[in-house]
Amino acid sequence: MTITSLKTPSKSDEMLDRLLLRQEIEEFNAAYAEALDNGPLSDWPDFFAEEALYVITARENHNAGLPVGLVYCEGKGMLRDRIFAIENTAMFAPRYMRHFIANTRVVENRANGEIVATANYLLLQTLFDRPEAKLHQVGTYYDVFVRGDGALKLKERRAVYDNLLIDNSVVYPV
Amino acid sequence: MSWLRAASFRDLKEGGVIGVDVAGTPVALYFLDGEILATHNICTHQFAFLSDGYVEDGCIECPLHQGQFDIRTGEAQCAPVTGRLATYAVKREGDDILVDLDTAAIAPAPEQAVAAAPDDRCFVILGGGQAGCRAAQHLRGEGFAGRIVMIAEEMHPPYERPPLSKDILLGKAVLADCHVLKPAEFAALDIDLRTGTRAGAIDRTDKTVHLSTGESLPYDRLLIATGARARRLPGGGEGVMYLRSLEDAQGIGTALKTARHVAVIGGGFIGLEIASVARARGIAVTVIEREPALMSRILPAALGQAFQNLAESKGVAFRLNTGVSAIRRNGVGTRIAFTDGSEIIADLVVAGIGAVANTELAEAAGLTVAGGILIDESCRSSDPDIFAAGDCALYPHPVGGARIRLESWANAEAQGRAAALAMLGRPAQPAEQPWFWTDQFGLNIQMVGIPQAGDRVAVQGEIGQPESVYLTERDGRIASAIIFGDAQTFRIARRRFEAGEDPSIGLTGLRWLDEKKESSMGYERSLESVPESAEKPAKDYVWPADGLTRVPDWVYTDDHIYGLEVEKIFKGRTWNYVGLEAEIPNTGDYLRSYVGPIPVVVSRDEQGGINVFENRCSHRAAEFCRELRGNATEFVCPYHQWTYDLQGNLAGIPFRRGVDGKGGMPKDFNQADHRPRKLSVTTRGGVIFASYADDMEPFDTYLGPEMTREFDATFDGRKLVILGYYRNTLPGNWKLYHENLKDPYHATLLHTFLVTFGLLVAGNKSLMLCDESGRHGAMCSAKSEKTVVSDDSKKEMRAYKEGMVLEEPRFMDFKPEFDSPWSVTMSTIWPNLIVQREMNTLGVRHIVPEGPNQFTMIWTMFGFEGDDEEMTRHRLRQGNLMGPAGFLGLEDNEAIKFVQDGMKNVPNGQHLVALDPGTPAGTADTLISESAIRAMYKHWRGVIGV
Repeated sequence: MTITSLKTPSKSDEMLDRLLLRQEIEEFNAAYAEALDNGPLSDWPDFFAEEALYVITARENHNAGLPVGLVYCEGKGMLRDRIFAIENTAMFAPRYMRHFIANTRVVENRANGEIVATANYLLLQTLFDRPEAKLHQVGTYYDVFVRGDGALKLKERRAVYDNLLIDNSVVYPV
Repeated sequence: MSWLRAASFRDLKEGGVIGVDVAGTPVALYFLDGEILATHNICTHQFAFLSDGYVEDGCIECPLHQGQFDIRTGEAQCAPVTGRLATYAVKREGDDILVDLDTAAIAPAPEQAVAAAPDDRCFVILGGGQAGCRAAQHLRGEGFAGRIVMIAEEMHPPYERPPLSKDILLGKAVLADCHVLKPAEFAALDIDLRTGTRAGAIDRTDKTVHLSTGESLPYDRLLIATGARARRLPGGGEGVMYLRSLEDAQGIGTALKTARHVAVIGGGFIGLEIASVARARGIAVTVIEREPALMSRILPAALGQAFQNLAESKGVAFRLNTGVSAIRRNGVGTRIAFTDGSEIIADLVVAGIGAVANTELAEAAGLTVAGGILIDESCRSSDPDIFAAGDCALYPHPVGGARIRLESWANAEAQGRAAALAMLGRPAQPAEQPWFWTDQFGLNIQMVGIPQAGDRVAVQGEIGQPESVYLTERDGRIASAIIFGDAQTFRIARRRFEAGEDPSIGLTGLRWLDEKKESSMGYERSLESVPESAEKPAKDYVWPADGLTRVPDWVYTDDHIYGLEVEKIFKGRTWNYVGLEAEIPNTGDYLRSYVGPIPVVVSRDEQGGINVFENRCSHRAAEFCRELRGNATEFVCPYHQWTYDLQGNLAGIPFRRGVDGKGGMPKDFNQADHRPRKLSVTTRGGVIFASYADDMEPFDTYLGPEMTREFDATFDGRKLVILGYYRNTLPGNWKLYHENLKDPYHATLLHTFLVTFGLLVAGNKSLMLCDESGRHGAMCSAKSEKTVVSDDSKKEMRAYKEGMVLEEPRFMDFKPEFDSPWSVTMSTIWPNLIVQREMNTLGVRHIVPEGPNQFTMIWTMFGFEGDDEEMTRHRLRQGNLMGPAGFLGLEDNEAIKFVQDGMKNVPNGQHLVALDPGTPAGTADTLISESAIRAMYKHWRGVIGV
């Protein structure tokens, strides 16, 4: 038993916890982006809990409470099917993706262990035959994290993009 | 009896016909309501495969001239076919279809053995041609038991004349192929045929005909069907040939074998058919016409031009407005001197300058004759016992105020029949519309009705080119329809014409020709009729000579063509999707939408009505409605606060009367005249459509019955619930999206998810449906539980992933909920709507073009009221197939981008869409087909005029 455990929690501890949690989420998101940007893609489903919900949808749907998703996955199995399709069956022009995730905010740390958080994201897409990287999506992640084996896992991630008009197609997860 | 294997049962087409070869005999096999039937596969009229025709109501219709045969009995049902079609006994043994060529399916009905009451009357027919023979045949058919004597001047038994200027000249047919009635038929009909005999006089008092043989033949009824003879050149002319009789045709045919340059005097149908045959033999041809335009006395100028363009495209030279002053033979050939002093040398000169009716006998007998024998509807002349029919008789109705003769095969047929009925005192049958065909320069050209020189002409397509359509209008009515080389379209137009319906339905590319403007009628001329907003064409838009199997790049990349599309398609006679009623359920609800590229507002007014008007302020053009959707009591332009009510009426103008008596709008300003353009609106099944045309046909007529059925299967009356939207821009031409969904071939190759999970596989039950016009389509397939793909097919289908399994396969489940045999349908509803019924994921896709190289797609996904939470989630999960990130959807988007890139980076080429030549355009029952794309371009070309 260390002496710190006997201390009355102080305001600075609460702040420290929040800071640490935010740092943890930021690191989570950096690793998440790494999997999508540099691979391997097969790591991506493991950022999610077993029964996770993953949806990419436009701001217009999100704000109007319309449930549709460009990608709508219930459970890790569907996430893995998605990656299988991208890697093995889908036909699309080759491209690089690059995520920039910022403004991470812990919204609520629920008593049941769920952590509600948001972060803004920029997603650039570079096609091999064009000089410019194009802004593919700008949006917000609406997340619910849980802990499994000590590590954060996404129980829910809704990637809500503001640029309603998608440039042709969305190949990779956001 | 000898049963021969004809086909495999699997090859048969339900409700259709296939052609097979059985021991050298072409046989048509039909599969109708579970019954297999067989007939000979060649029309008894002219050479055409019936398996290329249409099966309807137990009849097979010849693709060439719309003659029909009863499939079960082989009986000819209507003109122009008269000969019975052979039928064969057929049976099925396992998968084998066996045919017995020696046994008819049904023994021909025994000759009417009814003992007719003895009849001592004698009916005499003067003339052994089409009309006379048909009359004799119908007399017997109606039970006439008296004597029939036919006096025929020619030595040959009666023959058909149309082949004289066609197959006989080409050496493809001989006399025996052309008999009107075969010798055995003459015997069976008990006709006393006197060939080589001429009637010298008719004695009406004694009711007797005096023959050249010296015999006098009393008659009870007399039919004059003496035909016509070729009009001769006024000054004669050495060595000039004419075409009227078999000998004439044989003579010209022989001369053509060695001729190098043929001069045809007279640019009429006979002249052009001879020119066509000569060109087919590689002979140089000059057609000389006295008038400035071809057939200018009987056809509107545009049609004369059409025939001229066609002939010129095959290398015929024309000398119009040119009189002939002399024709002299010399050592080299025949020298034709013209009135303008010029001359040409030809080695064969044929004159086709019209025909003169053989009316001398009638005239001498005191009958009323005016260029032809005057008859009434029952073919009765001015003498109640004398009738006349065919080329020698006048058409019983005035055409444009004058009486004319119709020198056509079909008229001879019709009048021969009418005369027979009248001679027996039977009531007349309703007359068919005059019909005519000519074969020239590789095209079968057909005409229904009677055109006249002064008619106004509407045309679809390029003048004189294959598949061009002409409607002529006189006194506010459509007087005739003429179609070049498109029997299928003609078939529909003729039916409508006969039924008194508007034959222009479905011919959305029709444009009225301005006679002055179109005097030279070239291709560029047709583009001049484009709206002023479209820029002048910078180049020629010439469709590849291969026809619809090629699509040139400029169709997809050219700004001028795009401008035409906006004016003629999106702002033309189309129903454009603008939204769903579920999006604007309440008063004041509105949507920002598009018709083509044009922004519109869709609003629900106080009366519950739906209004669609341009989203453009009448004042300074501002696009005033900026929200995607919402609810409002009025629309206010933010710039100067001009306000519009929910119906789009201009409701208020700030300071309209100025301030302190100064400024303001002019006193005569009428608010009602200044409102955004309002569009026509229609709805069906909760889907809203708008049109710039204010007299559009009803939506179901626009779709046609089959497409309407499919539309109604999806929008089946359940209330729609909006699940959300996707929007994406695609860097390709908007039509490529239609084509992608009219291209079942790609679906079997590109999309692993379709192929591997049994949604659309070559071999599955499937259909690529097209409406009659070709503009709408539906790709339909039935999901198979387990895909059975042969090893051969697998090799062809690179998308097939053997052994691929999903961790969550339930999202591919199909929960049947529609009254339809299809589990997947993709409907392309021209010009801007796709209806996606991909099992249970449902959506409409709204195409918004943005120039030739890009378009936006707005996807509205929906379910139905009454879906429980699990059904909604099933629809959402299944939604992973479609949309900009869909397993299938993203592949389509990428492919369309690749296509546009290819055209941009390797320009000025053409696309090849030649799959499934058996279906030139229209509904395909195989997935390996591009016939629906060709059907779309057939329609598109008509509308755009290229």
